[in-house]
Amino acid sequence: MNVLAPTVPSATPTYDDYFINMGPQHPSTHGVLRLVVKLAGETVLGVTPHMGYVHRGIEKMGEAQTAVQFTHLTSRLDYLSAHINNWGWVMAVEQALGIQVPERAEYIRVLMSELTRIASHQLWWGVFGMDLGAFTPFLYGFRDREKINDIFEKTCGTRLTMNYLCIGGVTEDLEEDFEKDTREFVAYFRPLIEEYEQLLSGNIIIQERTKGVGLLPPELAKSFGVTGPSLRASGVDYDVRKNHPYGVYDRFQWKTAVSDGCDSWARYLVRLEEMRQSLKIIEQALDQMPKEGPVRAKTPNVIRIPPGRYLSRVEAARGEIAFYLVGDGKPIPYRVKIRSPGFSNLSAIPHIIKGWRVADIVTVLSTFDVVIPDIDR
Amino acid sequence: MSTVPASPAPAPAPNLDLKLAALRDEGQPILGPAAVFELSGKLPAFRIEATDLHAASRKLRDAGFDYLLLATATDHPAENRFEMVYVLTNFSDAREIALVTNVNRNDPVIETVSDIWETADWHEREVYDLFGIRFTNHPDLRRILLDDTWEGHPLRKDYADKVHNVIKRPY
Repeated sequence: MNVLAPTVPSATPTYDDYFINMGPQHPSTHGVLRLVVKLAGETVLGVTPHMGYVHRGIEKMGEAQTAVQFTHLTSRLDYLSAHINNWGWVMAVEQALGIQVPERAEYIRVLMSELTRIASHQLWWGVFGMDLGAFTPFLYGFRDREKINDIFEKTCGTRLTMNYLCIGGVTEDLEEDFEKDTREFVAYFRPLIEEYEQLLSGNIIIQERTKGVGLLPPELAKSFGVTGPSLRASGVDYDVRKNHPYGVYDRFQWKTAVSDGCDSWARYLVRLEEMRQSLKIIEQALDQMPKEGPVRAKTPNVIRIPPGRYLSRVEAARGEIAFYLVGDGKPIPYRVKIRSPGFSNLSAIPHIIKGWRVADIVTVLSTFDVVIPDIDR
Repeated sequence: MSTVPASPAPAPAPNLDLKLAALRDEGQPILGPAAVFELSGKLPAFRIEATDLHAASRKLRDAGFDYLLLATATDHPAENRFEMVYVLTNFSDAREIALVTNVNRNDPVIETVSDIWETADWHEREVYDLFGIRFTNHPDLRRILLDDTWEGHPLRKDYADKVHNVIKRPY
């Protein structure tokens, strides 16, 4: 098999040039991603990603099951953003059918999405520390993420792939302790972000390994369709929640986290700031949410997708996830296309890693926060 | 929200809301009369000839649509065509418009737009992998999700999975 990628310049190989496989089982690829790295000593000459190890054909499966059944598969894309992926899918179907979601359900969706975003960033923060050789953040991150998983478990019954959102709203109303638990969590976690900063941000090793490493200029980021925190760390103020508001996101006061550092350090800081902003949104959503009311709109017994093209876009923890849906009047979609954030984000990495050292690949992969099932689908 | 006094708005075109009409009026002069505005479902689109795709993409890119959200295809075997869809948007007001074009199913070839948006590189590789549509001038047209030795293109409607023996359900 030809491992020589056309993106790697085909210079005459010397004794100093060699290829190594990083992955598919490498811990810092965060899943089964294989990077064929061309090296000259420690210096990276080129990286060719090979993915598809967890390609499950989710888009093809979408053509063999109903829109309702497909919802649970979207949890299995980016398993750390399960609620948000669910939302993207049900929004596409709701748009197609013209279903109005009850107000309380809209707020529940926001609450769940923002909790998901925090949980995802907590896990990222812990794993980022571990990728760079610090073990304590990993324990701290998981300790705090557990609180959110407990909140999810009480209401949804599951901790990771919740399948809680459904077409027309959410499957069931919130568990009675939800508001108390969530407010407790907000009070608990807000000071801990400062602790995260003290533990990791001030560390000179972390700073030296991230500052100026993996520079992603804004024009390159835009051209590659990089989204999410990785884009905002390149100075582009783009967030689907602000620029293309959905649900009730236009009712909250918050700022997008933007940094123009363009490097791994900026991506680190942007994610920390996003956690603070998500806490703000959660507090406002809890205050504004109608205390009772329906959480699920009445939907047809058999949901048939009307003929035509539909598109929904939401901001997942890693960037913009879009669902392109083609219907032909049957309950089964004619075509489902998932535009996953990780796919486009990963495509930029080979172009910004050239000239850096092997250890910097780990830093860049970690600050892009790739999740492989999201890329492979 | 209901307290805002209604401003005298121009009468909308029949069956087309104001935002979409504005988008159509913005896109039509850029793309020229050969492009046909089409609203099937909720995603506004311009239907163009496959040979015009590259030029149209370039024009829209220069007009501010600097974000290729996705590029994908849909298989229509009964009509012997693939439909390529490019959803374009931007990083400011995020208005979206699609370019759709037909590709002959017997000899599916279309020009790449990866020189306009870098992200098209991988999206087109995915379409090549799963649909078997070839892209001319593409810098690196290889399979992306499936193995190099894979036979067939799974997202085609007539694809039969010989390995896993999946039977299509009758409903």
